[in-house]
Amino acid sequence: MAEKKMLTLRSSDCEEFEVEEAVLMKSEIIRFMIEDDCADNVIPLANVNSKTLALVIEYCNKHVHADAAETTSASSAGGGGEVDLKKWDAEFVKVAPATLFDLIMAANYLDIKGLQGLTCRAVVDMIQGKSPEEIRKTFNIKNDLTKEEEDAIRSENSWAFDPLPVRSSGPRWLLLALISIASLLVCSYLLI
Amino acid sequence: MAMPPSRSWAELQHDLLVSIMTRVGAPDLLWGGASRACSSWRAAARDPLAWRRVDLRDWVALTSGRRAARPGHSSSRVSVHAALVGILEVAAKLAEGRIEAVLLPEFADEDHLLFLAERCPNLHYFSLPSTCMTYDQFCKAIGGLQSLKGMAVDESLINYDVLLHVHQCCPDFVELKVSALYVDEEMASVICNSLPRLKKLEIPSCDMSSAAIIRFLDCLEQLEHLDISGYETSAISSPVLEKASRLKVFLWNSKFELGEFMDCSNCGEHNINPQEPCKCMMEHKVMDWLAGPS
Repeated sequence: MAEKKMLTLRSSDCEEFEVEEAVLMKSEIIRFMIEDDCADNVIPLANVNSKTLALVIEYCNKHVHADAAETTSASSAGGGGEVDLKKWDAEFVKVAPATLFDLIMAANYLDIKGLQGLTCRAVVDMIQGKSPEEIRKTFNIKNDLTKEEEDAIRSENSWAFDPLPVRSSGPRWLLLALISIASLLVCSYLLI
Repeated sequence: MAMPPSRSWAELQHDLLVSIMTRVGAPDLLWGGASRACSSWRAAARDPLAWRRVDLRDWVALTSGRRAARPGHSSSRVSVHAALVGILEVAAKLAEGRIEAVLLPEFADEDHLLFLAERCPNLHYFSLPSTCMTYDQFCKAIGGLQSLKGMAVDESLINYDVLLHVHQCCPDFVELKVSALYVDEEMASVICNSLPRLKKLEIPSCDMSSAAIIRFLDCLEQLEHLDISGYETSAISSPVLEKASRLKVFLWNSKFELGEFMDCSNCGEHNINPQEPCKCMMEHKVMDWLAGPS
């Protein structure tokens, strides 16, 4: 068995992780460094802390070895492996919002396509069907929308569904009002 | 020592927020919390990229979401037909006229397709389940959608003249999905003769004769993906399997051939309602087209 080439990643808090080079190919950034032969023995990652980096490496390990297993058993029924991997992914992103945030940032920084998609979909699942208040609470977001912006949102939405909004203001309402007045005038004229 | 990155969701980079918003459904982008949590989330929800793909199939979610956002206002003043035009107007505006995929609700008709053809001429894909469409208006709309690559329609539109018009107006058209109860060799011939360059054909949950399947496999030389899953009467035979071996993807799972439930071979989940294609397929197909030609 050929000896696997290893690389060391150093997190922002100076913890080091020794990882197979093949596993790190999942990161486009690191893959380019390896292919351009400019990756030193230790790759410093100033933007990723150790907790997040450990998770990222776990993800890459799982997917690289799952890909290898799939290749090996390509001739047999490979459906089971894929299903298991999806279940593993679902469990992997069941983390606190703060951790999910770090994973999104790391996946973006390291350019790991699969992890980017997975983490984005996890956020989507947390926000679909939720009210603004629920989302602010979950993600610890402060509402900085001005009163005008809130009104603008309501006004725009009402235009889509209600041609004659009662409380909206602005040119659209004025235009509709003018049209209504003109119609009344025409009717009155015809009645005379 | 580099400053650790910000951990505030409100300050997530705009492009990352947008990539999240592209996966959020229209109800949340319009009425829901996603578009109103804070100013940066609102900006992302209104980014044109978030509106490239618009899924309006779940009309109940759309209307109930709107009602929740504006309590006290009656929703009976506008017909569903006009309401759909209104929401398409908003979507087209936010997308800056560059919507690429639209999945329409069941009651949508040719007027809505004509609206899209006028406002979003670069449309790549649409799903229009309506079963009573006038050929003339449909063909008129198709004439304005020259970038069209695929569509999902009811069998009532499977007509040689209509499909030939699609073939002539849309040079990149390579994908067709049909809702049909039964497909015989004659209907298969209509599709093959009018759309000879199809690469992807989906006719799920339909009874289909062996002759029809063989016709598709014989005549559509560029076919790569064929989905005839969910049927109730098996038409799979050795010649079919042999001819289908050239395909990249051939979905023919049936609840009667696998046992009680249909397995979606794409996401692997058991689907207890085989009359309905697995949701991941629609997602997968639309994302395929958004990714662009391979």
